[in-house]
Formats: sequence, C-alpha cells, structure tokens
Amino acid sequence: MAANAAVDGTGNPIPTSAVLTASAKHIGIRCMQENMAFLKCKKNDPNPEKCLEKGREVTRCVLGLLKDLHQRCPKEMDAYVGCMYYYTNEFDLCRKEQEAFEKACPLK
Amino acid sequence: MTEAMIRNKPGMASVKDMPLLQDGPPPGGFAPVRYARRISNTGPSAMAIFLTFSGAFAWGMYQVGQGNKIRRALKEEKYAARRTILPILQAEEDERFVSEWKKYLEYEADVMKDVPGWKVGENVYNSGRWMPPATGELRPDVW
Repeated sequence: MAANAAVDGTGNPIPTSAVLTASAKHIGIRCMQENMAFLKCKKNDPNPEKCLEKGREVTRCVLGLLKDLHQRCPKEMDAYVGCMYYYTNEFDLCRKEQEAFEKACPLK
Repeated sequence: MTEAMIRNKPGMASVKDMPLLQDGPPPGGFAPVRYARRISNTGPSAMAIFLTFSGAFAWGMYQVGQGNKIRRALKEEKYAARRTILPILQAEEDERFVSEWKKYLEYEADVMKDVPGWKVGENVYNSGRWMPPATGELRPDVW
C-alpha cells in the first residue's frame, strides 16, 4: 500500500500527518468540543492516566470524521492528501487541491 | 632592394644625403581637439532626487509590510492546523504510554517483590504533580 494512501484496505482512515493536516480545518470545526475538553483536562492534570477517557473521545471523533470525509468525497480527499504528502504538509503549495476538497466537502 | 636604391636622388654623393621619409602631420596641421569639461547643469534638482528616493523607499517599505502580512497569515494557517491535530496525537501517545507504564510497573513489582517496605509503583517526586519518567528506559528506541 502506498505511503500516501488515506485509507487502508478496509476503508478505515490512517491518521498520518498528511491526512491529519489535510483535514485539519474540518477537525478544528467538527471536533472542537472534544479537543477543548481534552486540553482542559490536560491543563488540570498532565497525568496521561487521568485523561484517557477524554482522549478516547477525541480519537473517536477524529477517526469518525476522517472516515466520513473519505466517504463523502474520496477523490478530492485522496488528491489533497497526496499533494500534502508530496509537499510535506505545506498548505501554500496545494491550494488547488485544497479548493477542490473544500468545495466537495464543505467546511460547514 | 636597399633604401639607397629606392630613395635615391639623382646626384647623391652619400647615403647621408637621402631625402627624408618621415611620418608627420598633414599639411596645415591636425584639426583642433576639445579637452575642456562640458558638464551640464540641467536635470532634476536636489529636492526632486530626494523626494523620488523617499517615495521609492516608502513604497518599498509598504510592500514589505504587505508581504509580512501575507507571510504571517500563512504561518497562522500552519499553526492553527497544528493546534487542531495536537489533541489526537497526544491522545494516541497517552494510550501507548499508559500501556507501557503498566508493563513497567508490573516489571518493577516483580523485581522488588522481595524487598521489604518497597511501595511498588510510583515513588517519584514529592510535589504532588505528575512528572514524566526521567530515565530513558521506556523508550530505548529513542535513546
């Protein structure tokens, strides 16, 4: 399987850096509650054992979001992730693919 | 042939009487050559030059500011993306750490089970805050 694939064989999204930065704006909007809760928990107590549940919420939200994005607009997402992989997560070099991706899967 | 045969004049007694063959000026002399300075006083005044320079400088600094604004926006975009994916990366690392830490505590209990009065598990610092493990034992691949 190529290193710039967004999903593995069974359709589960692989959270590589390219995939995560490609969907960063979506994550920032759709998973903001879980992210904020996790960060607040961490600020209170940096012990990882105390924030495991919130961390699982975050992981569930983000992986579910990635799967949903890939189901709604697979081609644009694959193109954007491929471009991010090629240019090592440089937003300015992938504007075309970013626009196509955000048109197909709007940020809402 | 020798010079004497080329340049001879009839009735020449010796070579010393040969007519002269020299490179010289044309008859009437050369034309006069101007060597005086002629730097004109026309052109922009000092104030005009200064204002043009200041204008170009100001316009250039304005363009620098605009460019910095654009670059700052790009950097902000990059940092915002990093901020959004930080929690999931930290959550995954927490899971991995907790499972490693549990294994490590079991190993410690196994090693110290015969030592009287050893409270297995965390006997780290006294401040009450959680500190990450300071030795490199848990990540031998990194260290």
